[in-house]
Amino acid sequence: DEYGVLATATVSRGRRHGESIAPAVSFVCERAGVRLDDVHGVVADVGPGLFTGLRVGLATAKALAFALDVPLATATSLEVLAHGAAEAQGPVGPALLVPVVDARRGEVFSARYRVVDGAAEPDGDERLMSPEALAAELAGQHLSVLCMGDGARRYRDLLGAPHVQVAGESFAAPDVAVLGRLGVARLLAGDARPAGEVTARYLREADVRINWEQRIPPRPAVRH
Amino acid sequence: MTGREPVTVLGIETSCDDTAAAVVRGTDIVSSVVSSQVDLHARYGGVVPELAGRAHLELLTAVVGDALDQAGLGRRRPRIAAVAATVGPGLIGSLLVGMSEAKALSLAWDVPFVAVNHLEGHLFAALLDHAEVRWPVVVLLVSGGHTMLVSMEGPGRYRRLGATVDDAAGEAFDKVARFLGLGYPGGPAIERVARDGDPTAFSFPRAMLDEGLDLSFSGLKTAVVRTVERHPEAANEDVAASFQAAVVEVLVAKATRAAQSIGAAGICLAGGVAANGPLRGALEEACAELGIPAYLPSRAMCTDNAAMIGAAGAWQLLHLGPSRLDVAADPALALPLLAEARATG
Ligand SMILES: [Zn+2]
Repeated sequence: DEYGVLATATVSRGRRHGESIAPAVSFVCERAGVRLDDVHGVVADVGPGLFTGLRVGLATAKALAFALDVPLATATSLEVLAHGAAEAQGPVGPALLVPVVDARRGEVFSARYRVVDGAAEPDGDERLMSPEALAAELAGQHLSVLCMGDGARRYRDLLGAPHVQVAGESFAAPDVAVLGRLGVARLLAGDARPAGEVTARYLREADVRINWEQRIPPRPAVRH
Repeated sequence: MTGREPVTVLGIETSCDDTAAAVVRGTDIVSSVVSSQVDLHARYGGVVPELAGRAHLELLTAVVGDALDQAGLGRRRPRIAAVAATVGPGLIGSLLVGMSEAKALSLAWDVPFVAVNHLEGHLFAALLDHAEVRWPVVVLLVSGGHTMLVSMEGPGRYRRLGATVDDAAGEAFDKVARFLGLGYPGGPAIERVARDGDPTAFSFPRAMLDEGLDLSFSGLKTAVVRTVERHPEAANEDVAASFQAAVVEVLVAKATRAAQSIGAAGICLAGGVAANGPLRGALEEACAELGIPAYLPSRAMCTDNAAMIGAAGAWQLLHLGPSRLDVAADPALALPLLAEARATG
């Protein structure tokens, strides 16, 4: 095999991504015996997910691609989850893969993928929705369904049904090796962009509370 | 500042709502690019943290590219000694974007990363405009996030003399401007309107004027709101001018007292509020009376910028060494003071 994963590093330290990501990049290069200078491309997970951590990863990936002058390929967190499940399930698995990422505030990010020849093919848009609405949609399905991701774990009692399975803890987070394989395929296909053009996939409007603990209502308009 | 060869550093600043990158050689600014997000936040009357984080991520790579271009440096292995970035204090979601970018650039280019304190950056800003400073100086650091008086005995040598016990001066400007419907940012808006007003129209409180070196601005803001409620006919011009006069009087009085208390060789202004014309004028007058120089940074060096971060980073690299790549961003990072052990990162 000409392409394959040489090294991966996954650090689980809560939300301390800003402290962990650069040492992790350094570590995988050392383990793989690769100098960053020799890298031909970078691939980044653009979300959806928790905004702050997402931006740490994307800022790192954009800066690496910019500084190394190489293209930046992207994949969404939902794609990575679905492709990871498709790789693991093989052709005999469920017909429909449904990645579910916990969006907090009682909502989830989700999308549907059909398994075609053992690969995950998108079937519709990525959405922000309530787990109840997702459960209702899946309950009406006649295909066999596999849900995966931290949102699927959190709402497994709600989502689960005779034809709807929820994947285990090992499929709760997007796998960086799957992201790497998707990235190589996309880079080879020319599906990549300059670093400056890549942005996050938030799928939720920014919370526009300003940075003050208290607000003063403006004075009524005065006529002079 | 030192006898050593000046080093060239790429500085990155994203602690609040300005996305900035600069190339600095010692204390010479080779290039400095600032992309302001003012328009993005103006309609909310203040900085929206999540919007700021999103904008930094969209803008920063291009801003870094512009800073390198303007310095005549290529993006592949530019001839720089280090990449320095603000790691605090500031908005955590904004700090993380700049810090992550800087760490990744340092990895890709195989040069050290330097974690810079934003407040220390502001203290260096004045040095970028004034090569010959006689120490010690009192620095009055006044911005939207900070109001403090520092005794600076040289780069890296700071003592805290006083600070606001509640709101920052710039915050008071923003809140009063918002209340008066003058727009955002509040400092320039109030200064503009105050030009046509009577600064003696209202007598707003000068909190803690005669006691110590700490300051307080929350009562002043409340007094403005109450006065306008009691005098609905009051002209914005007069309210703004009277408010500004109160802030300026307190700031200058405290800076003067601080300078006398340590026998300072000069007073230096820093931070966004340092761009305020009446404050600059009043401080110059006070310094003339004291017979010491007033070091006033250019307007570009008052507001947040990356040149001051690069300059602080260059000094830090030479005197304290590089920082580790697992340094955390700290939204409440304090200015490193003398008599405290200073970690080298
Ligand atoms: Zn500042």
